[in-house]
Amino acid sequence: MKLNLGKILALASVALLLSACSGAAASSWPAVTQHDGNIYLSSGSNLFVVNADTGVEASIATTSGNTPARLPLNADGAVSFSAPAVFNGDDIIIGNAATKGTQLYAIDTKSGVVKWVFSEAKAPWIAGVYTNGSVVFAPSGDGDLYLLDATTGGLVSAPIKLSEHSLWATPVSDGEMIFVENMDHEVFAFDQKGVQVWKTAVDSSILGSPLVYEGKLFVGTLSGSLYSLNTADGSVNWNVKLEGNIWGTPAADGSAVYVGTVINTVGKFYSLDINSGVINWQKDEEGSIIAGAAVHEGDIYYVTEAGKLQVVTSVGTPKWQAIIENAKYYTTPVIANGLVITAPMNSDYLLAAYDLQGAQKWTFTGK
Amino acid sequence: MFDLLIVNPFINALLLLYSFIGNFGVAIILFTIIVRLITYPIMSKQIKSSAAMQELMASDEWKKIQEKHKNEKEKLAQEQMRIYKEKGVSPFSSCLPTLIQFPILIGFYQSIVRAIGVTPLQMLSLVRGIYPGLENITPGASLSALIPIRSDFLWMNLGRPESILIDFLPFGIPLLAIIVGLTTYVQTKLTMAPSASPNDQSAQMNKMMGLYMPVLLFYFSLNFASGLAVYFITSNLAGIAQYAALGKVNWKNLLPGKKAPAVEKGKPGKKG
Repeated sequence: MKLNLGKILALASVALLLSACSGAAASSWPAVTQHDGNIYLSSGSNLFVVNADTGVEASIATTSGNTPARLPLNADGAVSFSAPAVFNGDDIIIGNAATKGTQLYAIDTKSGVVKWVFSEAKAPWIAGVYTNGSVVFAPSGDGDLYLLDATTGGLVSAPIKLSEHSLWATPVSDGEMIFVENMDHEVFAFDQKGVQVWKTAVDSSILGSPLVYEGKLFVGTLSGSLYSLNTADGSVNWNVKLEGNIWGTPAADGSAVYVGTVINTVGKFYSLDINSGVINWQKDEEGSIIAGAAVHEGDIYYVTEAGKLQVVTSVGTPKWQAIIENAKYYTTPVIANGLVITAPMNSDYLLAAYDLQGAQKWTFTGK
Repeated sequence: MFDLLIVNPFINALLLLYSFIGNFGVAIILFTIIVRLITYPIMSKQIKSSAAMQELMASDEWKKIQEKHKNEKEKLAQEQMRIYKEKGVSPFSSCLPTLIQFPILIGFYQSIVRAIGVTPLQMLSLVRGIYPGLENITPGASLSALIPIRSDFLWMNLGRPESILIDFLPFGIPLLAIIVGLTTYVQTKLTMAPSASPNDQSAQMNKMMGLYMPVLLFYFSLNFASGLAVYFITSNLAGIAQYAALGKVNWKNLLPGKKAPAVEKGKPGKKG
């Protein structure tokens, strides 16, 4: 037997290295947005449009007939979507999160075509954008905040350097100011013209979007601190150190703020007094809680990395749960049309919808 | 298991170095040198085994059985095994250490990519991989101090493939990948062991390695995080230095038209 050792070594190295790299295909997790009775799922190379009531995929009429509404219909180059779809009228504004993607698209949801592309960023778009209808505030993976004309996609001012690192958190607004975070432990507030109003330092990196609620901004950090900031000036109302890391966006009702944590592979879900930060109650979970929670009619909906959708009352009493075997949840559930809609990963389903009593109503596979 | 045994220890070692130095590129270079030093005994054994094999293949006895059983492959294999046993040489002892290096290479790649954490999933994996006691060694190794890791080094972002953009060119020049290809080629050439005959199996293997490896590593450097290319370059240069320290570098192999000289009968293939 003649051993062609060179070839064997070379092929072995290719196989091993490629197998080691194959896990990098998915760089982030899906995002779900609801709009006008539809669910918009940003997942991999597609932005799916699904009817919220039925789970049936929408279609778009083209010259060659009806085609599934997987946006955009005419993408240029490899695309990957993981940011939430943000609407400007009938257009969706969303960035390409692929490894070499630098495009931010405005996509017409009626025709599925790209209306404009902004390609001047130097890194992929992990975060979603915020738009007030005239200006798009777009935090990029290159650390710059781009202010673009919402109609044309042209720059309205020079990019604002917020960090040497990627910006991952989708901005939020209270209607007056836009709040942006970076991983360098900073929270910024800008006015609608992009002028910085204040900046506040926190104890660690911020990975998830903040929650703006009744004059307060709630920010969770990687060190597990939950901050309540005053939206007017960025002053700290309170901050509380929780066990684990905070990845998701906090949720709130009139009296409490809710947030989950990651403690290696397990997690905890907390309810804190919205005014003082005192912990009302906490629950241990077998899976980490990476996503934010949803609050609806006095109940709190949260998901875990163990594939569980858990519903509890505002006092922490469990109501029901639904588990998808082997699935992992990283995406904040959405309540739409009387259904709670989840986006599991590592599952046959891209979406799974339950009624508010816990019965599964439909699933969407994307096939 | 692979994460537990290789990737996570590598990540933590890299982070610890980074917490002291504050520069992830330098941390990669230092860590590569440390790994090279740790694996030096393995490499040294590989070189010695390779030399013993070359010596064996240059012996009269070896050549005789090649000639005698050239039409009886099974018999030839039996005779070769007999000689291996008699001389105490294992035909695989020279390639086993090379194979051992592959898990290190893969582990290193994963460590770099995860440590930089350029995507949310990588960041999640990084946070989970950091040893809880790391910040007890130095406060600079706490989670809040470590993350995010500064991935800029010289002109590159270590978490992304590197290329230099020039105004008049419509594409970037992958300088680092080119350096990787060149240093891999030079290392392979310099450390190519002399062979008994240019047609023997070992010489063919060397020739193929000399062609495949630079292309392969160029391709990886072109498409993967540039931190990996920094590792390749450092590793290649350290490898050349180690071979030179052992007196095994064939500088003449770099000259155009020069081939690795054949081993003289009964002598080990040592060249200055």
